[in-house]
Amino acid sequence: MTPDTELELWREQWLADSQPVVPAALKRKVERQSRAMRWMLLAEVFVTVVIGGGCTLLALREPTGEMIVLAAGAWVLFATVWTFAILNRRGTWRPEQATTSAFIDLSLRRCRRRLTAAYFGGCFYAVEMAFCLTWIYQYNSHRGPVTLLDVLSSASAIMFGLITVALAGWLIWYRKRRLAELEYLQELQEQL
Amino acid sequence: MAETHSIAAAGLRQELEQRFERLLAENGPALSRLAASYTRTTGDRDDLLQEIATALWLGLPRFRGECSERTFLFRIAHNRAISHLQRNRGAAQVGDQALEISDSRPDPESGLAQQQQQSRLLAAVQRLPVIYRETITLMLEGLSYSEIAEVLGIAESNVGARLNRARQMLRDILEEKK
Repeated sequence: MTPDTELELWREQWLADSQPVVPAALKRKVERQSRAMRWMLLAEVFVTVVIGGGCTLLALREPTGEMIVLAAGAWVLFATVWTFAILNRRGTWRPEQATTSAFIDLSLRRCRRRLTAAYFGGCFYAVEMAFCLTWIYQYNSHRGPVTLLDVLSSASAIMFGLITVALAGWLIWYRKRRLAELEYLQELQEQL
Repeated sequence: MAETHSIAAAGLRQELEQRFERLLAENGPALSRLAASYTRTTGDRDDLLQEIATALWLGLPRFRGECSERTFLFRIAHNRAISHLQRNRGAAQVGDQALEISDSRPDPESGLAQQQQQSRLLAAVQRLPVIYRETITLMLEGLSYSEIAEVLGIAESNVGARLNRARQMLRDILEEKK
């Protein structure tokens, strides 16, 4: 290559469209995830308002010790979830740069955070169930003698049991899927 | 009398605004490339572009046509870039690290060779010492030797010498990265 053709080639490369191009499929995926994150955030606000507001209203209408404990417990649980959700979502809203590597980094970060959220979700569910079942037991025991068997065989306990089984199944499936995605993204990152 | 003066001042200001906007619109991509060669991140590049635009706005009323508008603009951009580098000396010194951060890597899905080559060239330019970097970026933007000399405030013969050295170094870096 003569020096002048070399310079021309460099100039051509230099003057090419300076906006880095991100593969359309990757960009679409990240945008889809961003939309899903926004919907999830709205859903979380909705659940907080409905359940937190509902418990607070119950405590206001019937200001017994049990209802106050229920409302306080609900808000403590919500505070825990929101603290985790805000911290876990930090740095996952948008890529740092409009480049392929930045989009892959963001996808990897989101994938890892989703896994963390799933583990947190599982633990949180256990704590939440412990609180709810204890509260139901206390609530019912104030209205007459109740055995642990009564509580465990009640409609709400059966419902909780079914939800637990469904949630455990979903968590296993979700973890498997996220781990596969993580592996794929890591391979992609190594290829870069 | 005062009214005539204020109408004239408003007219001048409007003319200045139009010139400013035209210059930025015509040279936006070139300024963006120039800024990219002196910065590591998009945020830094945008900050530098903002500084250049401010300096241009402040400097434009003093421009008396002693050189072309393009040369004038590049001189301002170059001066701002050097000040920016001096202010962010710590960040500027990690050139090799920046090379890894910038997108000098192949596209994973669509293999966009052009983007890859451009990123590779930009990363190589970022590794050049400043005196060669400023010369080669202006040359790549299509400025003549005399324009480069005017922008940098050096003799034309110096431009030739710097360019030869810059090209050799750039060639070596690109070879090393293959």
